[in-house]
Amino acid sequence: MSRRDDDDLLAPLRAQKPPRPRGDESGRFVSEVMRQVALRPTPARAPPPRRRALWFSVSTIFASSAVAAALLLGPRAPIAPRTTATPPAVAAAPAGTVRVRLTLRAPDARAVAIAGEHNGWAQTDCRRADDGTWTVELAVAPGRYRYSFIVDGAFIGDPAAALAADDDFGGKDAILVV
Amino acid sequence: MHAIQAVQRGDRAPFRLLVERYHRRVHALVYRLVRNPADADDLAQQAFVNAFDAISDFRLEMRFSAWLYRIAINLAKDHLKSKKRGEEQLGEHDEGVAAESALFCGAYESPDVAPEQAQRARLLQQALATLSWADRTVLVLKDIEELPYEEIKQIVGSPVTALKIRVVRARARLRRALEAQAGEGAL
Repeated sequence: MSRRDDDDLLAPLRAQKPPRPRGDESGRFVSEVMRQVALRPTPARAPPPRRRALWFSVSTIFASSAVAAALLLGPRAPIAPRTTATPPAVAAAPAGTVRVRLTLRAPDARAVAIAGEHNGWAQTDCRRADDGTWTVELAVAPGRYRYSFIVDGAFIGDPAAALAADDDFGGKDAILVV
Repeated sequence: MHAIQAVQRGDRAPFRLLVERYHRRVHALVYRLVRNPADADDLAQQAFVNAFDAISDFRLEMRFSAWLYRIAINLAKDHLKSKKRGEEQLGEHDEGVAAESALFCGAYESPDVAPEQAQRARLLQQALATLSWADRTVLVLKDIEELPYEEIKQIVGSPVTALKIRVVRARARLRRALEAQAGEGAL
């Protein structure tokens, strides 16, 4: 079966019309919702737009140093404590960018790639070393980016990342701060 | 949009317009995920009540339907989780059966569908039930509800490129699940 065939695998389910809500014909569904809504307190007014808190900026600065250091040292290396110096570049990076190296140890994986906000979630293949470590080097502008390793098609985040966030799919994206 | 702003200002009557406009779509989506009409009724109603409670969080730059869908999907997810947990606690089913029964207890079949088509749809539903929640959700949104990626992006919070990758991989996993089903049937 080809990928094209996969595209329409669910056509039989799509063709099945779902049932209508109970009491829809008589408007009972809508009335029941409105009856429940009438019992609810008035929703709180929308708060004014929030200004970015200072603590966030400060923590980002610290996280940036720590994560960048961790990334440059590799996933098994401890995060350098209270590092504040700009990490050395792995290789010459284009102007305005920092080159970072991300590594993942996955000796049994057949293919490892990385996708993230740094490049619009396009996949970049990682290179495998003899010891089962997969590596990719990225040139990214300073900022904060979600990313995930993709091991044999599965998005796994990055087990070595110091920062992570829910990916809304029950998993975690790692966060790279440069 | 005026209705949403009016509700945000504290006038609850215009909320009826939103319920009237979206309730069938929300109900259909929830039904596709939980496959039980009675549960879909309850969950769709609850989704609207939760949306009313949280309406002040809604930002007008978002698509309202996407925001509402997200609420409904999270409710459906929690519902299936608690249902499965309840069945495991009762000890009546193993995990696979529990997942399947959660999907087929009281399942509705459209009366206009031919028996072979209905059987095919049942097998597909069983295969779909073996996928992860994330895979199932993106397939329901993309391949059954046929929503554009831009709207799915707002619902699940993932970038379009990542979604496209997930959809392709979820379809492949669904196909493998169907092949495994066919293999078991041949034994």
